[in-house]
Order: sequence, then structure tokens, then C-alpha cells
Amino acid sequence: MKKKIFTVLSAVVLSICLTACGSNDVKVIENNKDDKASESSTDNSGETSKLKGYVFEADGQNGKVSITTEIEMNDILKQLGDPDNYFEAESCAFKGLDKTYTYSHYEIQTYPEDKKDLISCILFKDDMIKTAEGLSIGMTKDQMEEAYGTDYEQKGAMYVYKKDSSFLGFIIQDNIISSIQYFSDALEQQQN
Amino acid sequence: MRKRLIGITVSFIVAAVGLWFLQKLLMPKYMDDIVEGAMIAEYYDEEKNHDVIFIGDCELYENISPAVLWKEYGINSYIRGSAQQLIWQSYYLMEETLQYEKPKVFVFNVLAMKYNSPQSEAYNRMTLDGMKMSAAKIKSVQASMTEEEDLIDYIFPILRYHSRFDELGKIDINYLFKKDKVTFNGYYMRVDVKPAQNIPEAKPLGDYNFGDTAYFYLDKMVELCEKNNVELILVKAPSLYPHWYDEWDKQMSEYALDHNLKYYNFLNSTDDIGLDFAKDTYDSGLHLNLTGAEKLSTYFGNILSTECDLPDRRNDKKLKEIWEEKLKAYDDEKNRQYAENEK
Repeated sequence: MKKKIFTVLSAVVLSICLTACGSNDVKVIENNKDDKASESSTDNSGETSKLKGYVFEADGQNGKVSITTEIEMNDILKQLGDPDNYFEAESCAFKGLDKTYTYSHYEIQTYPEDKKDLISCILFKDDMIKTAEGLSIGMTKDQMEEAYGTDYEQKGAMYVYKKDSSFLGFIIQDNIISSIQYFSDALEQQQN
Repeated sequence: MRKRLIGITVSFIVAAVGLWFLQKLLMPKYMDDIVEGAMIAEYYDEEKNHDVIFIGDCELYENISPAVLWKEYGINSYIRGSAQQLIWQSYYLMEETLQYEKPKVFVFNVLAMKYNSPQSEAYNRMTLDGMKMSAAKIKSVQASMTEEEDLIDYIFPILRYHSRFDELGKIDINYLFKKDKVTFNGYYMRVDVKPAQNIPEAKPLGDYNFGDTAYFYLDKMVELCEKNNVELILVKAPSLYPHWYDEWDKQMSEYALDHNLKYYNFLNSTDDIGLDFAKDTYDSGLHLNLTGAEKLSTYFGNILSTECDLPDRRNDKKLKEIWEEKLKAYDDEKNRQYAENEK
């Protein structure tokens, strides 16, 4: 009798455990952003051609620095030098800091992922800098469409272009570009 | 035949108990670094006799001290808070709370209006795993799930957590059946100081309108409170970051006016509250520390007791006894953290 009970018990436990092992296995305790971040980060060797998505070229300490979203900030920081202003905020509940580096004409925001700081957003602060395709704040919507086409998604006053996992957004007011923002999937989710 | 039936029944009972035990063992205990995951479940052990229930995100559970509301105004309150609590989660927590008690006031923090879609499983788990099984929980799970999640994993969490087998540690054994309290009536205490400085300018948005889903659940909150004769108060905590845009504030002011609700944006009252962001925050202005939370609670307690006609219950013998014990624990923790800070 005992043998029978043990057999049935073992079978039930085993079958449930096996079923469970077939399910999607993701660590829950950690922030569950997708793996694209680390893929992009691996791809970043400092050469523009190897960066995926929209790329911003900033003036660094030793020449141009190519930056896009979802790559490690640490490497970029070494090339850009110290920012004019730095702000960090603890991620709610999770370990790690959301960081904001402010330079003269732009701001870079990062989020923590697997002990790395990945870039979530690059925000233009004035009309002194341009995108790699030549757009700057103060230019017109027509110039934006000429440079990037009309395959955008409009969200209120923002026109969003997508390339790989990066987004490039232009806020248009009275036909004039008032803000330019590069942002990643991580930020795109929050804005929906 | 009868013996066989009994044998099978016993086998299934033993198997069910075994699985239940295994599930208890494998579920995260949230007792060490990410204590926010243990907050929601603490409510069930409480005496359900509250005047005010706060429901919302970290801007409530780190900024309001129910101990001060009791000490200074005799208001018996509780915070059902969790990290990045989304508005549909807050709504279903309200619905669930009403199954246990009927407070005079629900307070909801409106920062959650900025989210219009499911965000992250890790945060979902911290709110939803702590809820007892109920229709409200199921509905909350369905509203919260990201594309990768399944309802069945919330009903039987062992399906989700079986991979923790290799990570099991002392904490999983020590807190298998009984957990420590991580809050004081929902308030998460921090006494350390990190002044607010270098806060970046607000990033321009393409669309400042809150989403339809967020408004849908806010409407449901209003309806639920009206139906149950509970006053709903909207607040915006005085956290300096993330930014609370003027456009957002205008929408909430208009909504409150249209629905005859009270709305307090405490960012407009920081001087009256007496907040000093060089001393009253532990994380550069995101959340208040103990001194800040106590100042805000004193200020808001005065509003609650005068404008919402809440009675002073400090003469209620049973409540008085309960709070004596709670206040002792509160003061002990305060002293422990200050002593730790001085080391």
C-alpha cells in the first residue's frame, strides 16, 4: 500500500516538475528588460559601422564619438570626458542607478542592466548640434521628411522613426523641430 | 475497491501538500535586499478597521507615515503600496480591500497615470504575488501581464519559480512560513540623507495627455468609491523626480473638479510642509526620508482630520493598545537606523 502511495505521489510531483521545466525560464527577481541590450553592447566596438540603429556623433576628447542607445555608457564616458552635470537616481526597488549625464548641448540617460549602465536616451538641448543625417532643433518638418522620409509614427507632436531597436523622435511645434531625442525600447515601453 | 479509493485520495492529498510546500519554498521571500516585494502581503495580518487606506506606488509608501497620523490626529491608516504599482493594480487592490473593510477615505497617488500599458514582470510580481487568491487578483494579473507572461504562472507560481531551486538559501528556509514585517502599516522607513541636487531639466514629451487605459481605471476607482460611499482623494507626492509636468497637473486638477474630488499636489506646498530637500530626502529628491515623511504626514493629517471630518480615535481602547505596540516597533527601528547611520 505504502509503495503504491509513494509511486502515485512521485509520478504527480515528477510530471508537474517536468511540465514546469518546459516553461519559459526567465529570472524574475532581476529587471526583465530584453536581451537586445547586451547584443548591441557586444556589437559596440567604437566604430559607427558596427553600431545598430540611429547613431549620434558627439565631439569627444580625441575626435568624434559615435553613440547610440542600448550600448554601455562606461566606454562612451571615457571618450566624452566628464559631463557638466551628473544626476543619479536609485531604480525603485531594484539595485542600480538611473543616471543622467549632461553635456553642453545634449544629455545622455542610462539605466542599469546586469551591472552595466546602458544608454536609454540621448536628448538634444539646443540647436548647436545635428543628427548624423544633418537635422537640428529649429529646422522644419519638411526638412525632417526630406532627411528621414515619411515612414514615421506620430504620437501627439512627436514623430518617431524606428531603426533596429533604436528610435529617433522629433517634436514638431508650428512646423518647427523643438526637440530631438534618441531613445531605446526600454524607454519606448514607458511612453506608451 | 474502497481501500483503493482511499489510497488514491490520500496520495493526491500528500502530493498536493508536497507541491504546496515546494511552492512555498521556491517563491522569493523578499526579506533581504528587495523588501518591496513583501509589502502587499503584510496587510492581511492587520486588524481591518482603518479610516484611511493609501493605495499606490513608492511615492506613498516612502512618503507617508501612518504612525504620525495616529500619534498626532488619531487617524488609523494603512498604506497598500508596492514598487511601480500601476493604476489597474491599485484599482483591484481597492476592490480587494473593500472585501475586508470599508475605510472612510481612499488616497491614490496620481503619478501612476503616466503608465498606460503593462511594464515589467519583475514589478508585477512584487504587487501580484503578495495578493491572496481572489477574483480581484485574477483580474489584476490579466490587466498587468506583459506579452511574455501567462496567467497560469500567477495561479501556480511554482511553474514560474521552479528554476530557483539552485538559488535556494538560508533565507528561503528561515522565512518559509513566517516573514518579518518590512513596513510600519505599509510605510517603508529610511532615515539616511542624500540631498537633492543636479536634478536634470524635464524632458519634452510629444504627448502630455494621459492614456485611455489610465483614465479608464481612474473612472472605475471613482465609480467604486461612489458605490461604496468611500471618499476618493487624489494626491501628488512632493517627489522632485521623476518630473510631474504642469500639463499632467492640469489634467488631474480638471479631472478632480469634474468628478467632485479633492486633489492635493504637494509639490505646490513644500514650503508650507516645511520640506528641506537638503535634509529630508534619502535619494536626491525621489523619496522623502523619515524626517520628510513625518513632516508631510503632519501636514496631510491636518487636512484629513479637518477637511474629511475624520474622528480622533486615540480613545478607542483596542486601537490604542494596537498602536502602542506599533509605535514601539516604529521608534525602535528609527533608533536602530540612526545608530547604524552614525557608525
